[in-house]
Amino acid sequence: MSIDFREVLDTVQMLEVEHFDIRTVTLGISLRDCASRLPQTVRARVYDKIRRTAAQHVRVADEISAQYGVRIVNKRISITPVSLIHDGGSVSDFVALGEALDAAAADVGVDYIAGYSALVDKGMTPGDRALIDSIPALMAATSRVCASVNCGSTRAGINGDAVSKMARAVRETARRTADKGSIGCAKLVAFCNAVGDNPFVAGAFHGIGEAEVVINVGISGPGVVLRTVRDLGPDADFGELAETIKRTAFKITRAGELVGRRCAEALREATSIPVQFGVVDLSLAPTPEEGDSIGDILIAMGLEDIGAPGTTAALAILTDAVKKGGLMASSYVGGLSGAFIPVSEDQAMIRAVERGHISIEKLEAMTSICSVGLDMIAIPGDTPEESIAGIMLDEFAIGMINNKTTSVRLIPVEGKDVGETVDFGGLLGRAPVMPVSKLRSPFSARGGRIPAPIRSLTN
Amino acid sequence: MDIRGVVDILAKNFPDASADQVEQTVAELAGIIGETATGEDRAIVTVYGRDRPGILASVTAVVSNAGHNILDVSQKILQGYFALIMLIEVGEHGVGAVQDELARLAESESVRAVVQHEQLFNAMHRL
Repeated sequence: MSIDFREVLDTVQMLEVEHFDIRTVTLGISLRDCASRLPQTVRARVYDKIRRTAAQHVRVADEISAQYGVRIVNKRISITPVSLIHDGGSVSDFVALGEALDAAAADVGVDYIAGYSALVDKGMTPGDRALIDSIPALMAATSRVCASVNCGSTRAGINGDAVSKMARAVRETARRTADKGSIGCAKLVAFCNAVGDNPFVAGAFHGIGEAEVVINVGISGPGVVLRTVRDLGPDADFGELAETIKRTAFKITRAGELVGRRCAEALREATSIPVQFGVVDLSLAPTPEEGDSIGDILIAMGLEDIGAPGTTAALAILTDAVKKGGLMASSYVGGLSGAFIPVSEDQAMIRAVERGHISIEKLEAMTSICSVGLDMIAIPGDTPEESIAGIMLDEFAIGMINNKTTSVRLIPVEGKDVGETVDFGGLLGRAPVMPVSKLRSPFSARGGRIPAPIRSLTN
Repeated sequence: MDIRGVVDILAKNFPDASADQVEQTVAELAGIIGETATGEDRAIVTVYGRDRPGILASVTAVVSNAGHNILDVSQKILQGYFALIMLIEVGEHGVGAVQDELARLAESESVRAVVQHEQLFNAMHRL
């Protein structure tokens, strides 16, 4: 028998007990051939192409999942940013296009389709503006469409006008979905340095440099890393911690790449569409389930709670070790690849917020060394637009200066204040409303573009 | 190609070799092929839970009846709990049927049963 007894049990334990799974197999579809000056033509082409291309996506992923005994939690779709294929569209045209996306996603059986997006790090076209203006109405009218807007980049700087529009879109989306805890904002994310091969919603989109149809895979295994860190005990030094996490990341990345490649092959055979395997996204992604938490890993590393002195350093060890182990395991690593620290989706993060151990400001510091940014954070419903814009600018400045992806997914929960909680259910979890500084920030409304940063003298 | 075909080719190309030499060569080749197999058609069955007499026989019956060839079996028992690992050659109907049957057995016996393609283990634990 070429398989080692211990290895088999180790694998089964990871899958059965420690929640290791493939978090998402995301089918990226280019919609560049769907462009037209006529709104109804764009809608029809987009709807048909998604239905045709993704018809077998869920079935194939389920079959591969059964064959390998690895749970694939989500089967999703990312598409070319729709502002690129419908630049002449009005606000109502974009809403109608978004509704067609929602219908296509429902038809092929996916819960989210992402790429209702615009890339405006340097400037906005009329179509980009219309798309951003249409977001609140679309988030209220649909359940499966996810929107994202790239407002800045290291190369171009930060588009302050786009940030202001996005802050307004977030506030308005919260108001329009007030009856459901402002859940529309959970499907809406603003970026700096967004990437085109991110398989995770809400920020996924099919980048303009991508092939026609691509499978990208997001793996997840906070529970597995937690066990290995706990097994190490309190006497292991930083180097041993990093080494152990690296070894674990290697294993889960290899499983992710295998499943992604097999999904691409099987879909290619089933449809005759030239589906390519793209990347494995290494991001450790928590879920609201107990034992599937990034925060618990940090606590197991030796913190009384998240927010204790040393939190940022612990997260740095974790994120870096995951990347090193993953890069050893696969030559095709991409997407966001780090550690997600969404508040509402991580039980340890929720507890830390409820105990007052962590603030938005500390979370902001943590995002400078992990992937993504201020994610799934509930804030008071009466938070002014200029404060939301200011938080976005702060977060994007971290991304711009450090040449990394950062994002903001805030939920100003309509009618709720600090001390209250909003419960979204499912993978989105629940979020205690966190306080936001009451200090005013007319600075954020100045508009224009923050210049691109210098790339030398980097201290 | 079956093993008889390999023997015939070796006997034809090496007419001076003795029957023992041909047999020895075939055995060595089979060993190499077995070691380097990609695991295209092999799966690992893992069953674990509270030990009871006859559980190995029950699992073996389910796997065999589903048309799979059992290549190797390993079992460990510790403090009343058992872990059983079985390497199988997947039959023409794939692993779907045996997964369903094992799920039923697992439910009636209050144990856990998992069937996974061998490639998964090779990917996770081999460079």
